[in-house]
Amino acid sequence: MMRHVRLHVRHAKLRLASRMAYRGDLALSLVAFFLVQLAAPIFAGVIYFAGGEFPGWTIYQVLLLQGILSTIIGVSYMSFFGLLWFTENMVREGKLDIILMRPVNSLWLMIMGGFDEEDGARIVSGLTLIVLALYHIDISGSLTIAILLMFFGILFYLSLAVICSALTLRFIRTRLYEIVNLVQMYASYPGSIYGKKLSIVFSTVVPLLIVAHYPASALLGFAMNGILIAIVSVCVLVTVSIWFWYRTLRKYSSAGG
Amino acid sequence: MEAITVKKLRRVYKGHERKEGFVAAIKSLVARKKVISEALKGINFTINQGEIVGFVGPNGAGKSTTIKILSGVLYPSEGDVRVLGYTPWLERRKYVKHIGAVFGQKSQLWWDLPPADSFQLSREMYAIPAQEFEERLRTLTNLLAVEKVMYRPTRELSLGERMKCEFIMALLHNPQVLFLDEPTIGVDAIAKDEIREFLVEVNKKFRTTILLTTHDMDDIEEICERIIIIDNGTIVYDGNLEKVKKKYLTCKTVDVEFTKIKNQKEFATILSKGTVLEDRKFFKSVRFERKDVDIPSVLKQLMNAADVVDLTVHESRLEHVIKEIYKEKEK
Ligand SMILES: Nc1ncnc2c1ncn2[C@@H]1O[C@H](COP(=O)(O)OP(=O)(O)O)[C@@H](O)[C@H]1O
Ligand SMILES: [Mg+2]
Repeated sequence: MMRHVRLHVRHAKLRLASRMAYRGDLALSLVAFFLVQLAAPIFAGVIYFAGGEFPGWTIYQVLLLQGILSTIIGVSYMSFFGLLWFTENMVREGKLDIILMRPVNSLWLMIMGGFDEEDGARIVSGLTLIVLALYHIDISGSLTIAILLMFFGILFYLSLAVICSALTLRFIRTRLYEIVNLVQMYASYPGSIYGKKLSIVFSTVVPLLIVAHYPASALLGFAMNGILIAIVSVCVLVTVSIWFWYRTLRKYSSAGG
Repeated sequence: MEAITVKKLRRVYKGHERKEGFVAAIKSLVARKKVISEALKGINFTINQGEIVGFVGPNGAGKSTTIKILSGVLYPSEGDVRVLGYTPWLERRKYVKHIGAVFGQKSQLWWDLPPADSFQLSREMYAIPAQEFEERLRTLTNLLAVEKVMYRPTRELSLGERMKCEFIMALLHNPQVLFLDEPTIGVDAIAKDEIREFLVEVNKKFRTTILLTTHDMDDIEEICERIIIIDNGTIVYDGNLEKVKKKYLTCKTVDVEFTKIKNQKEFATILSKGTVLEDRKFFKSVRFERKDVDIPSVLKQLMNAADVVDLTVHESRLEHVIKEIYKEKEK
């Protein structure tokens, strides 16, 4: 296990070093990325500020929620979501053999291969949004619980990445990122805007409320109906996705790609 | 000591005709066409530690399938395989520490990093002790003269430079067996030579067992003492390279290039005395048994029968010898 962690850290370090040595533009591209990230939620905020509204949520509370979402996505994209693109490349180039020939955990190795430093900017823009929002609102909830829930949000994203990667192993090029974008879109708003049925789906089968709605609610001291089911659901999803991934990989190596 | 034993190895690919795209994938769930092909039809061979064996055969013969099974990434349908005492696909994670591989078309280097960084990651993956790693790296980079190149990002390297680094990547953890699947494909002649020398050196120095598939017969002639010829999933020859050459070197091959045939009948008569190996409109490659014909007089006759622009005589090439063996087996 320690060897795997060391490997991941070393890879990330080497990536960063080489990025800085060979492309001086890293800082610039991070700043640009950061601004783009920041612009989207603010834009959405302005629109809803002008007309629409979120039942039970003020605009700053929504911004807080979007900041949390952005942070979680940033952490996820940077540390493991690249698995999806990496899988696609490996399958397309028929290079899965090489992954299998390494004496380390295959899933871990592919997650490592997908590391992308640029997504670090999302984290920064997410945190900025959070600070911005907190400046205008009082927190009456618990920071600890919020952070804990964010951790589960990250786990939810992990299961999403692993499932999509497995599907890519099976089918190659399946435009899965559109599903991911959909999840992100639905997660960007408080659960209260969705109807009863959709709310149930989003806290059970596809527990995307865990990504932003619940952590924000925890911080704001709002009620969190269905939170326990959502947490259990995330744990199940993670377990099942990893199991499914290895099963697909085994199938791949018995079928020969 | 035996490094590799393969017994009655069979591999069947069961596939469905699969088209790309989600819709096609869904459709294929309902009505799919089954395709079955037997890539390996029960092959047997043994390779001893320290041997360099050339594994030769036409496209689709089953070479890559064999290498994939031997390296643990593909399950066979039937048969026994032992490499260094392991059954590759059953004990994959433990086993792969002891082998290395280079695939001509699949880079193992991390694309965005310089090879030197990929080497570092390899050190971590294989848990190579630092001192041993430095020493091996020095030896290997020296042999291939890539000390400077390896600090440039992989994507900027020429194919020859990159392939050299691929070899280092495959050898850093001191594998006892090295599998090479068409590693010199597309590499220029000079780099090829350097790679061949390197392989011979590595084999001598570390007693690495090497199994090499290639379409370049010069690769085989320069580094292998033994060849295994596979065709259509069956081994058609396994033995000493010199022997097979001697057996078939009772003849010479004449390549003739011409612009016009002056005497059709005479030209045809000459060709009929030998075996035509290559038959193009303005080029023929013909093999003549030395006991049947006198080569100089054949040359003279050819000059008379056609407007010859180029005429070369050489010993039968290994390529032709191999073609000959395929043909014999088909009979
Ligand atoms: N993944 C696969 N699915 C179906 N058939 C395959 C697959 N891989 C190889 N084959 C078939 O198996 C045979 C042997 O292929 P291969 O081992 O790649 O040959 P070689 O490396 O000698 O060119 C070929 O007929 C090929 O079409
Ligand atoms: Mg092949």
